[in-house]
Amino acid sequence: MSSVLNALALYVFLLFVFRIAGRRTMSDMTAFDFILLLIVSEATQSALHGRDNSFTNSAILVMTLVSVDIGLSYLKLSSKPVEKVLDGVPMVIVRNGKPLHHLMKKSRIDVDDILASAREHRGLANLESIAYAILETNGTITVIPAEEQKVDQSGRPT
Amino acid sequence: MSPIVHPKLEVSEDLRFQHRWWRVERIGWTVMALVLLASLAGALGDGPLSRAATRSASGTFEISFDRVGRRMSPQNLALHIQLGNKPQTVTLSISRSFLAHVELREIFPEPVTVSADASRRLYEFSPAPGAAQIWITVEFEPNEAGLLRGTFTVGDESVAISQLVLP
Repeated sequence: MSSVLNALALYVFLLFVFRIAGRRTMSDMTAFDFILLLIVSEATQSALHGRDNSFTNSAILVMTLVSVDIGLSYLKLSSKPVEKVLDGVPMVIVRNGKPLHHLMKKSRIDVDDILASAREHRGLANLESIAYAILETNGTITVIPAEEQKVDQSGRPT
Repeated sequence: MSPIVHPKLEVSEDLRFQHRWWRVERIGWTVMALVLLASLAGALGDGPLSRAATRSASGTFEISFDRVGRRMSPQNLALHIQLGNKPQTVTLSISRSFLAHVELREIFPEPVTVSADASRRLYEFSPAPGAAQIWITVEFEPNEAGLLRGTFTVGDESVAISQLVLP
């Protein structure tokens, strides 16, 4: 039983640490993906440092963690505040072509990061071609080019 | 030159939450830094702050041990015993309250005989000829988190130790 409690405690602890670490640390992977990857691989290998290396123990651990993951995803759907705490919220860092420097600094982003994303995903050459840049919950920067007439996809669905 | 049009942006921003979250983040970093500093100093086991020594009433028997240990993490007790009249054998008794909650790894030097009764195990050692003191090392790993207690007795001298075992 203690290995199940260990697994749960480790899950909550990792969630806390990677949420506190901030979005730029988690770029391109959500905290949940990363945690699941780490813990599931640990659980199947060394049963989280227990001396019980049986298949039964590993199976119980994996199912416990996957159940917690499923449970949390339902919790996020049903409660907006919980979703905000667990996932974070998207944030506009360039609005109408103007970078919002104070928000960027707090998020540990500079204009170069925005321009790099603009080049990589949109092939845009300069800041003037950008209408909006949004820091998404998973740490990536999405760029909406200027001159687009239709409204593009934006952030996480509400 | 065609006019630049900025489309209408739909995004579920919440700057109030974001600012509050940044405060939480900073607090979290401070807590992490404090925990790391405490750990470096040994407050979480394995460091200068955590090593302690206890003596028996007459001072002839001393045990050096860690005040804070960790579950299933190797550590050791160093026992230092003054031998009054240069005896042939020294018998150390370790209480069941200690042995039942740890995995004993090794005892140095190797005891000559080991016996037990309901509440303790007796380890008999043979000191070097003419030795006035004997130094014994007990290597072990705690099995569970919580308060680990044990009583160590040599002849009439007894030392009790207690350790906080972290998960």
